[in-house]
Amino acid sequence: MRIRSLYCFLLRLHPAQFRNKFEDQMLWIFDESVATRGAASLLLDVFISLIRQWVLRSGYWRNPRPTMAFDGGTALTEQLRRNAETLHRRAWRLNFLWGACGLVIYLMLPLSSHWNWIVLMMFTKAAYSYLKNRRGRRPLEQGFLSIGSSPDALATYRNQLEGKLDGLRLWNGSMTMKNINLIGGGVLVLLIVLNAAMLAKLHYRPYLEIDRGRLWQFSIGVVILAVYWLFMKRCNDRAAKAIQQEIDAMDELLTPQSD
Amino acid sequence: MNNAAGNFLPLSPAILHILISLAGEDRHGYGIMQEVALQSDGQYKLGPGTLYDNLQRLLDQGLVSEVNRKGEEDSRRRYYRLTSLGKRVVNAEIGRLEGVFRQAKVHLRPVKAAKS
Repeated sequence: MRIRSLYCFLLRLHPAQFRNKFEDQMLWIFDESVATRGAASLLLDVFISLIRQWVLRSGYWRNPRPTMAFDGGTALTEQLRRNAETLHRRAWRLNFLWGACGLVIYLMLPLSSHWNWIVLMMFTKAAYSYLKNRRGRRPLEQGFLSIGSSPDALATYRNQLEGKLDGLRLWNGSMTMKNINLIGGGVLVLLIVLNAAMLAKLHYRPYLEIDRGRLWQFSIGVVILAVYWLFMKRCNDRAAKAIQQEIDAMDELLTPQSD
Repeated sequence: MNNAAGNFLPLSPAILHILISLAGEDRHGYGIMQEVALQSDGQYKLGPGTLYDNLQRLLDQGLVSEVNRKGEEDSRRRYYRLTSLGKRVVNAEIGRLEGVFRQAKVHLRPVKAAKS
């Protein structure tokens, strides 16, 4: 069991794209062949693979080429799907960290009272937004980017993809409906922290117990948070772009050729 | 067409074994490893790390494609298939190796005769 855990650990150290593609299969082979091949040779193999992937293939995993579209072009869509999944997962990990960091920084701010019903409501809304948007599911009747409720499985999958796209944009605050900016969880966390930090900076007396010595630390925290916000926004945009590429590829495959 | 296949030559032993193992039927990763061991009478054993590193390259080059099998009980098993380009490349490599083998026989014959 310990050897399997060590094998899993070494697998986890591989580049994310390699891991997402082959981790399950390599683990399955480990389970099947550990009795016949011996744990030592499998551990050595995964260790060499780890070095190979980071030293020799690191450039490849940073800029993976799309798989050539043989066998009906499905390979290309499959590659795009995996790429989109990887980026989507990574974006939501960062989003979770964003919410957690926002909460911690907010609690560290020198406020006389951290909890009032507005802040509670906003954090609850942010947590709900996280859970809802991460899955990429939404009611069909909302459907501002939806293609409708087709019974076809592919259309359902496409609809889910559009939901994921909406989720990322909502979290980023880059989605509008009828020219109104829709506020997602990520923006809410930012608003709570910035608002509280601003109050702390302004020495808003009824609300604060002023601790000047620590204020500059919180200011640095807010700057770090702002930089993190930009980084997270970029990752969300990249994931959204990858999902959009997958949707476009699917549409291209499904569109009947005119000539 | 043959020129396109010729661009991939010579193949490394690992890639040649993988392609030959897929020539008969679609196989999953573990199946490929077992077939390679069988082909070489247990002398050449591929590890999973080497296998998937090479499979990734073969997928990129379009020599191998992934196949979706419906009704597969274990979702961790993914099957791979030799593409038509892959088949041409294996044939070209075998032709090349036959040429090497012929040349080797021609050059080694005098040594054998001298010894006897």
